[in-house]
Amino acid sequence: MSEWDQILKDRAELLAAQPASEHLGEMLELVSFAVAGERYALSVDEIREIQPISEVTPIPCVPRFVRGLMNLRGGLLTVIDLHEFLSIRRPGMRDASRVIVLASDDLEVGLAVREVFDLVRVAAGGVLPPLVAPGGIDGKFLRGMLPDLTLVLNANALLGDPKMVIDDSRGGHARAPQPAGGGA
Amino acid sequence: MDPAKKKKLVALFRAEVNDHLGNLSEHLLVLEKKPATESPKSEVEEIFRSFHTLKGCARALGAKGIEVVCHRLEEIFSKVRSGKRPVDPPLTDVSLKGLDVIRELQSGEIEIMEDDPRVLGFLSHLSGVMAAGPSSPAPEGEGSRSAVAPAAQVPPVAPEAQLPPVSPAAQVPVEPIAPLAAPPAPSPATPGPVVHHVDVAALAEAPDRPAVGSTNALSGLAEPAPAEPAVPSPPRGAGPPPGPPPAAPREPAPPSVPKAQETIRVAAGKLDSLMNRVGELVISKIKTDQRLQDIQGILTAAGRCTRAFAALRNLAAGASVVASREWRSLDESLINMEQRVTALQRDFSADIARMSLVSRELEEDVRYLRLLPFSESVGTFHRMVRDMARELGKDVVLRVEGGDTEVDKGILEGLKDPILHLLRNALDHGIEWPADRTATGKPPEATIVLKASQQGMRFVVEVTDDGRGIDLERVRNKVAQTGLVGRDRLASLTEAELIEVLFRPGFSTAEEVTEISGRGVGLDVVAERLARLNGTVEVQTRGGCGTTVCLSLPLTLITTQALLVRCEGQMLALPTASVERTLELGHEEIKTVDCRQVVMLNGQPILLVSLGRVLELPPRTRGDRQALSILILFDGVRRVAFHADEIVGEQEVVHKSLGKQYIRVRNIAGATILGTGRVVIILNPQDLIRNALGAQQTTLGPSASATGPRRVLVVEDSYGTRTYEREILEQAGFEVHTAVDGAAALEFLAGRTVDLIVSDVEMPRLDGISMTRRLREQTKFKRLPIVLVTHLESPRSRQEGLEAGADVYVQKQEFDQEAFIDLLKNLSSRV
Repeated sequence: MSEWDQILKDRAELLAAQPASEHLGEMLELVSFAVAGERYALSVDEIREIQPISEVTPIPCVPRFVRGLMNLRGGLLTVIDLHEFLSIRRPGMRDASRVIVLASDDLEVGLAVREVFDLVRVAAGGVLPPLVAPGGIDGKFLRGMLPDLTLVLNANALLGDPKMVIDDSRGGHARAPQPAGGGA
Repeated sequence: MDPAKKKKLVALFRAEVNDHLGNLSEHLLVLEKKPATESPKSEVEEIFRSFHTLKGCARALGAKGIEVVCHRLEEIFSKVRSGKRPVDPPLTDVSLKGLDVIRELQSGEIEIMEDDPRVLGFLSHLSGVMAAGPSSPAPEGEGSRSAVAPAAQVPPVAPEAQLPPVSPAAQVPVEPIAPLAAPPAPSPATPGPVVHHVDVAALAEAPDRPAVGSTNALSGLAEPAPAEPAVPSPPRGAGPPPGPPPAAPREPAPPSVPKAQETIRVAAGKLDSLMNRVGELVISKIKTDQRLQDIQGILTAAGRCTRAFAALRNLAAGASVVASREWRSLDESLINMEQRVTALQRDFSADIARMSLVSRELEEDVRYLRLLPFSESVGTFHRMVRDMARELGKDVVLRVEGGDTEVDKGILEGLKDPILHLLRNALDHGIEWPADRTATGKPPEATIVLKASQQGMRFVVEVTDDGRGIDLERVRNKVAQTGLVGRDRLASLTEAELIEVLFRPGFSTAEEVTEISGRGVGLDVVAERLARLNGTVEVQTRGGCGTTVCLSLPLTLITTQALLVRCEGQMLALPTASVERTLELGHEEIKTVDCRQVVMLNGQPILLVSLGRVLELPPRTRGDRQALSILILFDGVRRVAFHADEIVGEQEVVHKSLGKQYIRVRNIAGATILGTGRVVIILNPQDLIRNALGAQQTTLGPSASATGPRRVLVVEDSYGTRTYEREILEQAGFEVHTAVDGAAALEFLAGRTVDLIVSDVEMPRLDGISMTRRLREQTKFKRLPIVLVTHLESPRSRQEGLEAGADVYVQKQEFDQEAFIDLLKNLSSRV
């Protein structure tokens, strides 16, 4: 083996070892984005697609976090205001430019977001436990927090939340109007 | 076999079994109803053939259990075919029972063996029935019922007869099957050998043609069967084309039997997805039209360039630049460009025209792909009516009319339960016992007519019985018992109102709960189901002569004729079918009765409510429209008038569901995407009516506002009265502002708005009448409700006040606090 070969081999080994040397090895690919002023991230695997937002038609008589329906390639996509859903004061809809489409077997929703940033790769160990403060976001919707305070959301928990399913058939026909922000 | 392939085959098999079962059950019932004088040949032939085909399929998949059952039934019908066995109720019963067994077997694991207890049970029951021989003029009800009853348990077996005795060890089913697998065992001595020839032929066919086409195997059947002169056997031996099935050249099938059509099985989801794609195509097409306009723009620009260049040439005439190569090249390029854009525009527009034509046709075709004839679903109904009539001991015939009316598959499926329910109601409540019928001069045999028809863009199903009709007095008594309506109102309930009560949840007039109906699930279920399908229910009853229930639905679930309405700034769609009429009315045509707003239609007051309020939409500032756009919705029972901003127009829309996470949203039926790509919500008229009537009660309750407290401006110069009015209004939930006279009120209103003004008439600076007049001059106050309150007992000022534009003129003497508050609430919630 020539000297060159040895050097290349060492280098290859070094490169190969690089990820392992960083904390716990497993790397997460996250898409970071902004809703109103807040920064969030979702795992790439949890995102079906990202599309520019188009006109959203409001649906009467549904909880406020459901902002309405959007035409996505001839089909209907429900657009969700993440902040209304998480009961965060600043509405996330006003300056939305894109929708991040999340889907499970049972439902498909688009999160309205202001801006989508880059794909970031972080080591699983680099995700910090979320700050759970009273009155803040329910911890079950979070996977954790990045060092730059980006909140990593849990798409399964969002989609699986019973609030997402809208069913008026029990309790029947609203006699009195729902209080604003209803739907709990 | 590769398991995936096997799975596919099994799925195909199940679908096919279901088709055959439907077909068989229909033919069996037709056969049973056929008078003895008419030849039953075509039905018998059809039944025989279906069992035979089914047997072949079952064998190909190793579904031994089904195979055996089919084989035995086929054998029996072979006897019927050859005239060795008449068609009688026990035969029909046992055959139908056989269908049930097959249905059950195919729903589970396919490879059920012939020794499955269900198979054995059926076979021994079958032998029992067959051994009993034809029911020579059996006493109708009795004989047949006894034949049905033992079906549940394994009946005692009749030992004699054509078949070997059945022992629990079950050689019975195995024995006749054995020859099937082996080469034809000529067994001319025993009865029923005819079938064996057939089976062999079928066996040879089965592996490659498991399904539909075994008719040429059958055509040979006619030969060994001796007593079969009427069946023309197709010319044999000539060529490979199998020739028409033997039944084809005969007399046309009775109308209730649908003609066989060549069909392909497609999952409904695929059709929906196809529909979506077509929708996209239409939207793209509209965008292409826009592109054409862009090209037109370029063409205009190019024209300007060439003209400008020509002008430039004149200006530069004689200059050396004109002779330069670049100049000439530019000149040519410009002309060339203009020509090419012209050609592009011409061709492109021709292409678009062709594309729109094709896409329109495609759209149409796809929409109608989902349509099926109504007769597809009637098999179940025949069966149900027959079984239930026998169970009840009533004599009923079900007549189906309009079976070829086509309707969306989803509607057909959705209608099944409501129709079954109505038939059950008719059988149980409507139709009298035969003796009672004879006593009233009716034929003992009752008739239920199930009639489907297309009326405009609606699919209408009527279920009519000739029974006793709905006893409205009994309904009234029942209402009295349940206390749904106060005693004082009870006597004055009209027929329509009593019928409406039948649609209330949990209401049943059945004296006792029976197995069949009267469990308190009544017409409300029917109405609810229909509402989901965008349909309506109407009931007509003629005392002593019967009842008609009319179900009316859109022809297709996909497209709905919709009225587009603007309400609080939002575009909404309403199924046109439920909109009885639309009106434009001036504010002065809105009346207040019992503190509710009403519009008069043909002399009848109809409750008027705001569509936006029922939909809980945030109110917007009102435009300056003199007239109110009013829609009167009618659900077959109740009428409510809704007012909206504007009625935009009517168009056919594609009905889409909101999404999987929406189980049910009050007032909303779905959504549609217009040709422009815009999403519009489709409302649910039944909900709107119900919620409008429900909400009306709360409007009169203490805090009824959907949008926070209503603001009222009290204009009053007397301090005492002002304070008093503020108190009672605040107590009633209003947000109260005050002004000391008309001028102060105008100042106040310059910067703010209120929902209502209550004003005195006699005031310093500016009186109430002048203030009203001044406000009405400004567009933003044109529709602000103004109530003038005065102690003047002078007809002149009342006249003057109303002419100035006040909505109500109240005299303090006639002041009833509660009525006054209600009035104010109604006025302030108006529009």
